[in-house]
Amino acid sequence: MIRRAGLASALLIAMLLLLPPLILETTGKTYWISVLTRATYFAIFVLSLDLFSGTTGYLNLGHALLIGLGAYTSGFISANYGLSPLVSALIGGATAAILGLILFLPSLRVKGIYFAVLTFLTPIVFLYLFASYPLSYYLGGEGGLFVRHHLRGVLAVLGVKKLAYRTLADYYFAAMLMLLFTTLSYKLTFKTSLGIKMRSIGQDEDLAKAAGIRTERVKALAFIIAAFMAGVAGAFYGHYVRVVTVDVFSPAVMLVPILTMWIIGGPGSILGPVAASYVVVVVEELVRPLLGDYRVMIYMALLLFLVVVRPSGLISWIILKMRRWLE
Amino acid sequence: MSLLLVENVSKSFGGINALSGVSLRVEQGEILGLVGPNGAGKTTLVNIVSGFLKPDSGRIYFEGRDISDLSPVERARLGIMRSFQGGRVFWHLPVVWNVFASASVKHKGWNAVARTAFAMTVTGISHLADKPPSELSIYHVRLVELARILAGDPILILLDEPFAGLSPGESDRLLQIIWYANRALGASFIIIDHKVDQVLKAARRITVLSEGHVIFDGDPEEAFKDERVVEAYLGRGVRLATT
Repeated sequence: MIRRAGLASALLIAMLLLLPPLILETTGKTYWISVLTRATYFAIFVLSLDLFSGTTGYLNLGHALLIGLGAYTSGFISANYGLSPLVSALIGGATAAILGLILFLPSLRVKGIYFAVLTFLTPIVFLYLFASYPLSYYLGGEGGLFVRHHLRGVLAVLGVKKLAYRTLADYYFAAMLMLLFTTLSYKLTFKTSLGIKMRSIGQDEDLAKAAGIRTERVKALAFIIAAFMAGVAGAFYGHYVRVVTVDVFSPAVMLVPILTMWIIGGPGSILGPVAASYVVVVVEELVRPLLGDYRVMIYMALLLFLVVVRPSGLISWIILKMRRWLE
Repeated sequence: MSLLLVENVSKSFGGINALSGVSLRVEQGEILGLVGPNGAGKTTLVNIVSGFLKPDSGRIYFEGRDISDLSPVERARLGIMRSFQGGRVFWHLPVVWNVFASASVKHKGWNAVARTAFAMTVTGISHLADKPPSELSIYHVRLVELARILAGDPILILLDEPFAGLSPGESDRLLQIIWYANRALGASFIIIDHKVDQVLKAARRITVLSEGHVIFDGDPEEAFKDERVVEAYLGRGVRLATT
């Protein structure tokens, strides 16, 4: 079983690595490479959301705040001090973790609707904060912060010297590496007692307290890990799209897609949400010529359909069926 | 010095007195039976001792230390472990995780693993390790609960109606584990039940609670010769033929 899973992962990684040249050869366009890169970043956003909300049961609707904080911090540092994104992204992640914890810690004490509402409102407050005067002067306001310093060197490390679509491929492989890193950290969390404690809080917080688990500390720690992941991914995403605007805090732009992917993929797994991110982003691109800006409605339609048909997640269900069929 | 000392504890809910001036003690290594009819305030007392409820007045001392202001988590880490009425476990986590979650509170790495294995062996649930409790019988859920408690290095264990819903045979097997934990591991117990027969088998001393008051404290043999106890259980003017 483990061997088969290992083989499947290896095949998947090989496939993802070979995709960009394949796409370029067949279509002659780099368009789909950038679509896949975007999907990969969203996969990381969903995974980091799942790491915290899927286990502890605290629905964090302010996940976009952490992504935005990472993107803005890293973008600002790189644009003004010329630091490589590889360094500034880590600072962005740390900022997201620390500032996110300070903002969300008071609401971490109350489960259920309060936490969801408080976290939902925080990014909206930040949207107005970043769009209005003192901060908008430094961070570009609604026009956006231009991130000039681009990521270089991932391909060079891999030994590739000359490539026509260099920057794009750099970001594609950087995204892949980050996804791999995020997946490993996610797995590692559940190899330690921290993961079990997180899940026990999600199951029954009072019982966890009765067992002597310091629930406040575990929740804070889980939040820091998830926020750091989201912040770093958000930073790379910012460098990739080159302009960070306040839209990142808007529920329609970040929160709705992330939630849709999360629910389609099924909380509490790795493969489900990752696959869902690719499916949703690719489907969105496919319907773009047909629906234009109305395509955001497919999120709503998908969500409604799933809540009625299969609340535990569509992709998890398909994976389960496939496993049964393989055995 | 008593292990646990509850002094003059009162608690009311919306004007109704659940406990009025209750005092209670548990000695080191003792099994105390806490009995009383429905609504006597037994569960309220457990919630107050374990820290899930704050009393309106009164103090609680554990190993000579005033623990009245400690949180449930801190009390559990001191060694006051409790079960919940009806059986409360992490329903959708495997049995082994249920136990490990508790074992890893005070122990790290292999020590936590060893604690888990030990608690599961003592309670006899090793063969259920990978099953979630949602698929188990009430009896096995109780054992998972007990294993979770034993893995957490308990000093005082509060069991809220541990025998409810069990067959006589299952009750006896649960009793064996309680005795083992008491004698071999040195854990003290407060066992609560409104059905007295099983508690009488385990406890060497019982405290009877009725309508928020302690009405009897002492030898189980004496309890049902006491008029007030009989009255609380059966009503005025009834005599027990067996005692």
